[in-house]
Amino acid sequence: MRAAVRHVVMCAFVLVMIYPLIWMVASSFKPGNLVLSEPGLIPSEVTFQNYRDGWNALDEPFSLFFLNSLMVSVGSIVGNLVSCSLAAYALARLEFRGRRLYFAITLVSVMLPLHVLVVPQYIFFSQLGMVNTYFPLLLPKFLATDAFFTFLMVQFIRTIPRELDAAAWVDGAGPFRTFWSIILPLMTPALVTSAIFTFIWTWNDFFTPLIYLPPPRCSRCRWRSTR
Amino acid sequence: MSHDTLVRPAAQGLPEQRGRRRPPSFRRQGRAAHVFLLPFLLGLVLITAVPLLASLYLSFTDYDLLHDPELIGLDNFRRMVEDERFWASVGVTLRYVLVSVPLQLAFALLLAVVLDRGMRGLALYRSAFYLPSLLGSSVAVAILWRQLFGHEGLVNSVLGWFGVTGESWLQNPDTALSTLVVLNVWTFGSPMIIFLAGLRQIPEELYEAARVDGAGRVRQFWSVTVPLLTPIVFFNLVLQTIGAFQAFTQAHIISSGQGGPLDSTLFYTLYLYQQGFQSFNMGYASAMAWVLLLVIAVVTAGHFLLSRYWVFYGDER
Repeated sequence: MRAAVRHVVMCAFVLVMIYPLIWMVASSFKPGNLVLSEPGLIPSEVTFQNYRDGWNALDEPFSLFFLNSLMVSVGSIVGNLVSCSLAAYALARLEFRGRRLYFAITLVSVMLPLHVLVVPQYIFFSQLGMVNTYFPLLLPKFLATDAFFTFLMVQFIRTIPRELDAAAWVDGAGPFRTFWSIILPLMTPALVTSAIFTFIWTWNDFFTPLIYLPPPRCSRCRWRSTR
Repeated sequence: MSHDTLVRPAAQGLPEQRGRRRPPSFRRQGRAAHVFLLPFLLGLVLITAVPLLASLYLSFTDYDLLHDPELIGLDNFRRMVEDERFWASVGVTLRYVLVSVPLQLAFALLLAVVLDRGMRGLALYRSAFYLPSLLGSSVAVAILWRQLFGHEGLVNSVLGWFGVTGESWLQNPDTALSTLVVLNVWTFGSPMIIFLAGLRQIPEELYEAARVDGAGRVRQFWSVTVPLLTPIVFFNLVLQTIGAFQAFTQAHIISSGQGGPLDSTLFYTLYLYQQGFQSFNMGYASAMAWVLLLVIAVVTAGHFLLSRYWVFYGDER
């Protein structure tokens, strides 16, 4: 009985939480004049006109915007996975001078606000003629600057038993072979997690594109700036 | 920490073997490490270190991107002290941090504790509560918020059923910031997930012992759950505070980039963006960025100092 009450309360709370999202989806199928007058979910009239109109409401169709976002998101995933896993392996497994320092820097830069860097970064990219291209959005990802993921992967690699590395060495594998054949396959969960979060954060990112793709925005983003 | 106790692989007690069958030497590992770290080091220098120092330099200059930067000493900081909009943005940001972070964490903790008490359908509830966190920072949700809190929005429709006539929440300077606080509290799912993981770590024996000593539900919560969860509360508090100081997207969308009405949603980062990337006062924007960095550093250091008095680690006695 108590459990039932609790479930009812929780379900009600979930509904309140999620209602705006469901309402948004439901409203997208309502004719424009009913969106605000009908707060309920089930529309009295279902239409796909909103999607048809919205898709071409701007100078370029939405497919282009999706394609741009997809390009940047997929590029960022590749960049983060490659550069962060390389750095994480070295920081977690190899012995060299400066390892602790680099790891400490990684930790600190997780907390560094982007806004402290963005002005000089903008100047840097604009002097290279890269504003209004993909480069300012993608290049940092290939240089392991999302320190959060490096940190995540270091912590994950530390849970992999070192005996596996030792066994690989005994079999004659060097650091590169060990990374490629032992560590990388074993760290798939960390790679998948990083890929998912990179996708969400890049797809949702507003600040960086706002700055690097300023008006007049190139509708078709490119690899070379025309200005 | 396991890596502290590590010694060079050569000394790890592997049987001594000949030729290439030994672990790579220290020097070879060092060389390999720098190949692995090449992108990381390039990024560290080009994307992080040099810009960090450059923005420190620029904060003492007047720079509009077209002419060379001109050193003006502390003028940017003096200007800040007299800039009313700067202080408005400081006030808005502080209110946002002080209200939304504790509220968000309170919700997260409450729901985590309720869910952790062996509820059926935990996975389902957990996903439902986490969903807003995935979408919360997106432009789509910010636009949705404009719809919800507009004059004829959903919130006012619901209030209308109870006979309350609401005005536009977003056009009233007294309520506009509150809608953004609500938006942040709404995304309590991500700290909640971390609380849930923390609750899993508390040994059941402690609750049993508390029950044997006659502690009720409430007493158990305050005397067992809360003390053992303080490290997780601390972790969430630090991260969410740092995040809240940098809130930008939602305020930008809701106020169409203006921070209005009457600068009531002019977040610090939004004003920084206006100065740097709309008025191209790159020097002033850099100075503001460094002030933000210092404030965040001081607040975080303060969290760590104060944590000695309220955070309890299980390995203390």
